[in-house]
Amino acid sequence: MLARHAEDMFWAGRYLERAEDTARMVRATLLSTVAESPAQAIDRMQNLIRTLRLKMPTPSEDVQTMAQSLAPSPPMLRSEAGLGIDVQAAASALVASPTLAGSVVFCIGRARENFRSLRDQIPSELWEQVNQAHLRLRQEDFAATMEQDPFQTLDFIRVSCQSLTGVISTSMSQGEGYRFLVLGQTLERALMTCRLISVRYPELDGSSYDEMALTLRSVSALEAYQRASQSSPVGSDVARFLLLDGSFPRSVLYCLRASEDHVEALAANGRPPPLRRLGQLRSELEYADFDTMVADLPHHLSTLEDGVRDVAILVGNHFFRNAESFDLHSQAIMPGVSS
Amino acid sequence: MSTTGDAAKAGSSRYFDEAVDEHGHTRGHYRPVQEWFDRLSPEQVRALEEQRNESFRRQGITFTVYGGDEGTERTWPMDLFPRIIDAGEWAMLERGLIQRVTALNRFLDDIYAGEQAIIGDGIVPRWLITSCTGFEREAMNVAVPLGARCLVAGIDLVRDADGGYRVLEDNLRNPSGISYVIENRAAMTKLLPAAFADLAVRSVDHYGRSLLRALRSIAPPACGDEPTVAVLTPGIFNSAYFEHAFLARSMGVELVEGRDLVVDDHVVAMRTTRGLERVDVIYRRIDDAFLDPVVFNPHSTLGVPGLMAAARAGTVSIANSVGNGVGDDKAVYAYAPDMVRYYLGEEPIIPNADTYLLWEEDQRAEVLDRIDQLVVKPVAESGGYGIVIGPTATDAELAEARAKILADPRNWIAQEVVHLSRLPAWSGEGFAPRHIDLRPFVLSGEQVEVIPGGLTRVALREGSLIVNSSQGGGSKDTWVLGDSDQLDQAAPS
Repeated sequence: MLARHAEDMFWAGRYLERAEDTARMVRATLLSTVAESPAQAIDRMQNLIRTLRLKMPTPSEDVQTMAQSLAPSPPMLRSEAGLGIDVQAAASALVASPTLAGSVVFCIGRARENFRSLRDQIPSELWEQVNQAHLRLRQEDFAATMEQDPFQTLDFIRVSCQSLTGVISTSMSQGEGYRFLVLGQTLERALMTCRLISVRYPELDGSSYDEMALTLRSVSALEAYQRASQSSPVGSDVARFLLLDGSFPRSVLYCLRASEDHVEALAANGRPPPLRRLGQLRSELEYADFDTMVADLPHHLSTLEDGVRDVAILVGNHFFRNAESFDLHSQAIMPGVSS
Repeated sequence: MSTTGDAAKAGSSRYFDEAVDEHGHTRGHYRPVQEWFDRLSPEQVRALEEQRNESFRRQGITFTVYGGDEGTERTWPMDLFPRIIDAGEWAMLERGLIQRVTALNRFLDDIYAGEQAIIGDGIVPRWLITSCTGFEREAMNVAVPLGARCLVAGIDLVRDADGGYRVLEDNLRNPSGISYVIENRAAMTKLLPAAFADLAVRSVDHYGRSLLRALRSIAPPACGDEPTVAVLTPGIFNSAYFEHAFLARSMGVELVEGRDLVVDDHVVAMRTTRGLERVDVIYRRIDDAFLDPVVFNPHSTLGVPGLMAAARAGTVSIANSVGNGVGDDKAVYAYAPDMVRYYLGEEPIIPNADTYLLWEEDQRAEVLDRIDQLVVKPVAESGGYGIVIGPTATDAELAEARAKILADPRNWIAQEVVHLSRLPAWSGEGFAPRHIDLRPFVLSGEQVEVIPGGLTRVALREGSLIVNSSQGGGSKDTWVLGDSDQLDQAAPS
């Protein structure tokens, strides 16, 4: 397939996954703040924004100013859900701000733009579905709806993304394009699960059942965890499950294995750099001594994140830019004209 | 010279009504549909319109209106009342369109790759051809397999006051609109399935296959049995991008942009995830001027450097061919009936609109005298730009048109006002007569093929003759009936 199309597929997959996972993390964070003091809630929100690696408008700004500058609707609409005003506004910005790079609305818009340039490559149903989600999120009252009923809105986003993934897996030919799309999703999901673990780590360290259940539930993992371990959640066990479970599709190990399968199938021959890096990363995680790892979890998580980001860059260099050298050739025909 | 002098002069205040005869009775081929619509209440029509908009919005079937601070996307305006053409009338149109496009292909091939016999035999003056903006010297002696130079033509037809069809424009370069023909049909079958009952409406769905067959038929002979076809688009920001993607999808071929293609030793290839892959036929939806910065506009970033050299070397075929604009020049258009006579030895089945050539002294004198009754058009524009409509123009506009004609008579033509025929369209309150035209799509390959029907455009504003979608125009699904039993012998003059 065209290198440009492959790249658009990959990014459509990443944005789609990012939108869903952001909604999941915002939901978990908001639920935890309900019973907290405003100061604690703000801390928690700030931690989430840091974990999501979002660029604040300026580095020095805190959550309040960010909320004020990005909040898409006037303050009087807020706090009907019983949340602190600033927390609520920050959550709304993370979800509904069209100007914040990385907000859910922004990610769905980007996914749609990518799919738009792929309309000849994807099933019409997929296009209609993503278009519909985009149009709903761009409706004028969406931000207000998010303010008034955040939990239902966040569930709506999750369900929309899940039905898109459903269309992808049931109506798309599973050739190269499909593999790039799903590779984008699995790599992004690996990243986001790492981030979820780091943002929830303080809770995992403690012993509150509610907090642990909330963490697991935010990645639809509570039932799977309970069946797997049959004891009530313990902090390090939850982290182990989310990192290393071999059959739960949102665990980091599962995502890396799936990514590895896709890259292997996409590589026509041999072991190109993205496959080698991915294999290293996966086996480091798979065969690591978990007790050593959990002793310094934040450090290991950030190494893991860096590794996944490396893989994404190597995928780009290998698959999307491998014909780039021919630019020189077209330049040579007509010097001085950029094409 | 009036190129089609025999047809009745337009100018009466009457219009031809497509669905109603001169006694006010519904014409036979419209009767079932008319009865079906008569049974709907205004609320039901509004509900159908809402359903239609929702469906188009969801599918992203929109077009971009330029102007204002940014392009805005609007859903495609399709009127619910269909245009219907009965089998006998369509058979005549089909013959006429095949005849005309065959002659135009012969003409273009004669000019670019032949002996220019039509010039040698004194039918068309040489200076007229070489002074066309659309005449491309870069296309001289670039052969096109089968001589299928206008692989896709979108001939604009109108009906005069007597119901006779006339060709208004040939659109031999990059005619657009076919995706809307197919989407209109898909929408109508979902919205009003019952209205199709027993009518044997001919299908338009096979367009993608027909287009692919035509494109493969012009592949360079050396590339073997499985030529690789690609659609070349300017990209996602082009107003017709929806159509480009639609065409690539319905043919199952790649939709490429200029930056996806590279020319290496006169071979065109696309950049894929596994390196370069050769391309044999390019259906380009980019204008000539932007196709290849080496020979055309050097600042174009949409095109592919070296593409024309590859075409000249015969390693790639480009459709539509470069230089077809010469046939779209409105002064050359005036000679199309003569081309039919010259190349085919036949009388034209569908006449031109009556056209005056302004470098001819007597015709110019008549035009300057009656300019307030005529339409004056620049020869090289399309899409309605620069047109002066005599009966509605101000004195100042007429004076300006006169001055322009005198300053450069070759660059203008004048035509009698064509009173577009009418058909009911929904006005928000009820169905009322609105003016329409028709753009059938004609494919050239091993043979010339017409897709049944075409794009019917409608001026949705009362009394308006402007059918352009950017200026309040809409469209209608166009039904060609397959069965000739219950015909009302309407129209053809």
